[in-house]
Amino acid sequence: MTMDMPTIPTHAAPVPNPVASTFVPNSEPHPVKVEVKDLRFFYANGFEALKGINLELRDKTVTAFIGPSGCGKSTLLRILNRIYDLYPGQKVTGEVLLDGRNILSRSEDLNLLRSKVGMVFQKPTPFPMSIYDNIAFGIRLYEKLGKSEMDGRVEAALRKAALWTEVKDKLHQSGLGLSGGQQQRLCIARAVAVRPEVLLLDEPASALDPISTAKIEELIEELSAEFCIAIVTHNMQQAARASEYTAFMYLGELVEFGRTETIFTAPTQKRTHDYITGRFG
Amino acid sequence: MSSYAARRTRNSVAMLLAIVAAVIGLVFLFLILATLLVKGFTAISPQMFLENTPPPGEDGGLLNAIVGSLAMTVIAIVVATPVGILAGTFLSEYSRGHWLGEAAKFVNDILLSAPSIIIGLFVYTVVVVPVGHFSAWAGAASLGLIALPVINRTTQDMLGLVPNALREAAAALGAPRWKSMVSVIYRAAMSGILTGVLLAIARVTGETAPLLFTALNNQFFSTDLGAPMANLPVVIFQFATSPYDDWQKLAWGGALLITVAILALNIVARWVAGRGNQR
Repeated sequence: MTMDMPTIPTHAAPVPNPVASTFVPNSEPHPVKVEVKDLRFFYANGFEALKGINLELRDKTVTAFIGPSGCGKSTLLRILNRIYDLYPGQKVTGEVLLDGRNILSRSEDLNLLRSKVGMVFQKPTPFPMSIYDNIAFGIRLYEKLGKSEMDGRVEAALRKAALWTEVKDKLHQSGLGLSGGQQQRLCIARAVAVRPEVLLLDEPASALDPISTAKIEELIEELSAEFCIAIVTHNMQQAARASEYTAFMYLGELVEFGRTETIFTAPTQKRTHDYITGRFG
Repeated sequence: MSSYAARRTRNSVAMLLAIVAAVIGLVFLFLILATLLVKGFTAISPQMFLENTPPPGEDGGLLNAIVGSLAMTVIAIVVATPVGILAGTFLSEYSRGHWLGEAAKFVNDILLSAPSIIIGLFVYTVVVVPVGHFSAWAGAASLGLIALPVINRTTQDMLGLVPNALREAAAALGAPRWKSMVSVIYRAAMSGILTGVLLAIARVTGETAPLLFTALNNQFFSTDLGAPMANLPVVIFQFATSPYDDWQKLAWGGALLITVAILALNIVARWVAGRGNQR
């Protein structure tokens, strides 16, 4: 398929919803939190993994990134908190504006940035320490709290991640002893505990069983009341269920970006249509 | 069917050869340990731990040698552990892909398998000769130089086993790199690194050659680290090659003692490593 069409309208001045949807969007879109402008990404070997991406993430809104493996959606997510910076040799051009400030600038304090842009990974990554310390670790980095205050923060984070009732009696046992789904919710609790502004979820449920997946999805919907959330997923039902906006990416390009119900019911691009109907990918 | 029969025959032959090889290896190991146990047990007595090495023909024990070995091993490990862990951390985490780091790793591996007598000669040349006499310090230095590459290498290997996902997860919370190392990565690799230290102690405990050139020996009880110091391996060497029966008996006792100590260290190391895997 040739690139005969220009990259797609990204300013998702939302198309009026032509079809009924299970999701009831807010009448008023939330303000833009993250703005990505002409973003290009090159691996150390020179491969161009992102070819000029333009899009916006709105505050208190879930944006899903879908597309076949290797399309660049995880790469895009890993730029938003500059975690790619851990590995030398990779290069980014363009701009990523967080509240209007370019986080790709050389002077950006990466640790501070990452405390504002949290991330949850595909595989659960509990730290080898107690459940309590897993949560407190991130908080202690930037805040000095007394014990009772810290206890409160830990509890609030675990409650937000719908894990509190399951772990409240074993807070001081190792986080590694939890089940996979619990570990992933622990990681989400850990990420929200530091009160980030943006939450990046990189296939957060793909390593989990259906019940844990359902819990994580519920959780995402609740968390969207507070955070700007970007979620990468291979599961199209998940994208349709959990997100308000959807970006379809293919071979490093943003093919289509818009309201989720539009993308899934009336895509304007043939490739989007082919992908969501399962003809490739 | 005939090809199946042929394969079965070849399998049986190969299996038989493997069993023969295993038996040969185990028989000698068993003979060594059995001899050691039989001869060593008769030598072990409370006296062995309470009295110093005797002149030929008199009663005595190995107290000065046991204390000397412990002292030099402790000094060697106390110095080599932090240096080895820091060096291993640097080579594994901070110098990845840099030619200097790769070269250092290679040199460390050579040092790891260097004959210990060469380490002994090196310390003899740079410490004993300029100072003018043998000393426990020199002995501890040579033992430390043997332990260092072991600890360095295990630290590298164990940090290499920690998944990158954990480093990313710590960084994603806004943790600076040092904080992530100290609070998360070391913790994840802790049991492995500890195992490395225990194995380094086991390795160092039995070394004889480097001590011959450095700490030498001492007939008397001595806590003076600036003077020659008795130690088990050299005492065993001296007593075992002597013509006196009571000296030879003490040598067997000392040999059993070292073997049991090393066995115990290995068991503890396995236990520590196993506990780390369970968590």
